[in-house]
Amino acid sequence: MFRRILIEDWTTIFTIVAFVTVASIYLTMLYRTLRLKRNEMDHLSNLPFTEDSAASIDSRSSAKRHE
Amino acid sequence: MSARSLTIEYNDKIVRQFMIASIIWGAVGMLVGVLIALQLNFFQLNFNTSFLTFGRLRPLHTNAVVFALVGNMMFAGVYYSTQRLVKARLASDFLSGLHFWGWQVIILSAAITLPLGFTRGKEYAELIWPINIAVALIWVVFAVNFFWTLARRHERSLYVAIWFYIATIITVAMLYIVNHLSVPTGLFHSYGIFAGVQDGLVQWWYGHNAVAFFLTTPILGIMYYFLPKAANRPVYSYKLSVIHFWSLVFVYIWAGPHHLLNTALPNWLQMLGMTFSLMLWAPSWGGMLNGLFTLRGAWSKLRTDPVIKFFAAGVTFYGMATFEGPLLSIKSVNALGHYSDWIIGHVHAAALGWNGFMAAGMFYFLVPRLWNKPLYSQALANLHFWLGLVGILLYVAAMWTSGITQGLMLNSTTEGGTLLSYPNFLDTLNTIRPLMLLRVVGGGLYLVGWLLMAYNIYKSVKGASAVNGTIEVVVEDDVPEEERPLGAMVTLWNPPVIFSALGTLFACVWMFGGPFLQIVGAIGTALSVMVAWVHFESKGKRWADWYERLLVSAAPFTVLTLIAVAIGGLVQIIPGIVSHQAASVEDRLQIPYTPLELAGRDIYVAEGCYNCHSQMIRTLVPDVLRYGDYSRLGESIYDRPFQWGSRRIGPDLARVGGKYPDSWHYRHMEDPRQISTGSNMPSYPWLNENDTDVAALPAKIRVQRMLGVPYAEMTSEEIQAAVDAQATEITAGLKAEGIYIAPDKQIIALIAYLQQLGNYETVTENVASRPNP
Repeated sequence: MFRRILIEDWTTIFTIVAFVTVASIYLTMLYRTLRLKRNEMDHLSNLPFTEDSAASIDSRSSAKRHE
Repeated sequence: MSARSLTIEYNDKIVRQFMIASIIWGAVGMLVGVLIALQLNFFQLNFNTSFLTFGRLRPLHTNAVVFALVGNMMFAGVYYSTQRLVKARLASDFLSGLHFWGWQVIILSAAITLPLGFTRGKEYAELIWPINIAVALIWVVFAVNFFWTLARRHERSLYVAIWFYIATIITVAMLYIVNHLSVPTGLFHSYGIFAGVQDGLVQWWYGHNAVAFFLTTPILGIMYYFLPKAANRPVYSYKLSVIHFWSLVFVYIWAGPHHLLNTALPNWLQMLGMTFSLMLWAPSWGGMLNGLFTLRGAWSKLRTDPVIKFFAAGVTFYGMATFEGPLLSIKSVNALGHYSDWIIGHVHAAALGWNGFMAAGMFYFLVPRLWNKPLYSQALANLHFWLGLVGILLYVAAMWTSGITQGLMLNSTTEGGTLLSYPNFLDTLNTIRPLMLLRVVGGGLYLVGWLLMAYNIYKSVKGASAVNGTIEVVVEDDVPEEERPLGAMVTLWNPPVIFSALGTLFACVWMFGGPFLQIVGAIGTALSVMVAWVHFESKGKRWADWYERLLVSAAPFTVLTLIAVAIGGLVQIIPGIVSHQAASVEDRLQIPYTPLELAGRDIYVAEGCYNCHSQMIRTLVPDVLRYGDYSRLGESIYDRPFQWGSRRIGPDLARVGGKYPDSWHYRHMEDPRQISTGSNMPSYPWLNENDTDVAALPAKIRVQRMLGVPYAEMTSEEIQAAVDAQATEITAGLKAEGIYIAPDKQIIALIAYLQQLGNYETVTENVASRPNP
């Protein structure tokens, strides 16, 4: 089954197959990404900034210290 | 729609634990690194003791840095950021604790077993099988805890950092399990199920992607969370981060064969490895630029904020290393750089610059938040940065210079390319000694900087109360249809997946099929593309809806990421496993080891000889001139583990058998400088004292037979008799030269092994020399 790919001379075609494969992934993702909605992008890129409120003392650690 | 408010307290205790573990183990790993770098300059620092030789400590250094420093740092970053990005506490405190303590026990086990010589003999995969099982189990604990947390999240969208974490978890599991498939021969020893070229391919599929999915993707996720937080502005381009993710996870997995360029690995695999490595430039630099541009408008902070300093430099080193990696994957460049210190310089630019600096930046960011107290000293943190930066630059520049110098000397020929300019390997080694010493200075400075950070953090948290972050979330009980996660059926039964699967299937039939199937495959591929295009034109909204709902559906997203990363491995590994068996080898075939030689080989592996000596004469003229005829695929077809190596601190040994008398090897192992003036190889006096473990041989040969090595069935007595006969012959020869040694000592088994290296049987005439039909 794999004789052609292993034994025969595929040198000339492999780089092209690899390029086409990768380019199709790049272009597909590029297209999908460019089509994403602006408000959705803003929402996603701001997710790290949904801040925690004031930190609370680690109850378990402090309990241990007071034991 | 009804909604209610909920207060969540994050589990930040686990973040603190992993962070502290990373700092401590990182110091240990770097200390061992400085020691082994010194050993290369001063052989006396091997202390004539088996536990502290370079061959045994180098795996400890690499494992400590990869799994202990970066592993613990990664877990800290993943747990801290994931909780905040999905607005949920980690699902299980018990699983979090089990993950932490289980991982530390694994690291401790590695720190004990590796110096004792218990190893599988494959780089970054040295740990023995019981530890492998523990790693797999703890990784499952990590995965369950992570995905369970995602299932309980209060933020439906999945930020891109979470994507990188998902890719890390599933890909590392896949890589680790496949590369560690072994059959035990005892409690501390096993043979892998893959051998020779298959083992080489699987090992570097794992090894390269351990770099990709253990040292890179989780840190990229960390970059996408912590860098915007530190700069106080969103990532430069979220769109670019999406393209970065998908292209990186798809392309990275194909690049493993670039570790085996110009070797006996079939050429089509080498070419795939090289081509995909070159195409990695685009996503890597896209990610690097996205990171750096996130600092737009915040560059002034570089002067004052150590967190930004470390992140900016770390991302810059990511860019440098990901430029250098593809460059080294070009076959002609690799002919110069491979087996030299250039690779060591490349690896350390990434490990120290990218991983180490990102870790430091993240720790300096976390400490004030996890203990609610300012950092003890900004000045010390700045000093750490400059010491680390100068250390990296010294280290990397020294290794680049050393590697290129040694590569040029080893490849240099004269008399019209028919003679080597530097036939003595030691000439090349001794030329780079000053540079190897400069590496110690660079590494030492980096270690001092790391210790300063440890001191700074210790002073910061001393007397402070540990705090956990909290957040108020609004929980909606009724989620609109379009925001609900996809079910399994909808994930797979939809136009994009169906047409992609059909196209891939027909393309495989086209590539791999016979004359008739080729035509079917070509027509099927073309039809799939055309019908998909027509469908997309008419029903494009269904395609868009599917993708957008995928972004809020963790489980289907995970399955599709797994498919994306598995394709490259399957295409590369399955043909090799199916076809590269001993039965189909042409040209030359390895002769199985005698029992004594097998015992000697296991000693060779246990001592970590592969850390300095390759067994692969590349298809390059200087290699052939120096070491003999180039290595054939069949000559190591039974080797478990394969020992092609990745660095030549000493010469290649593929054809050392019969080159020197037994007495030469005896004296060389006793004290290399008796034979080779200026050698930096350790002495191995314990090989003359320790007995060969003959009792383990029946189990080992039984496993080898089970895995397909053509050993005749032998009883324990027959194995013992074969060992005795060969050992007695070797000791008699030594005795004739005035060397008295008992036949049951390890040195005899090792000599037996070394003297058969390069033996083979001829199966068919050399393929390359056959006339065309």
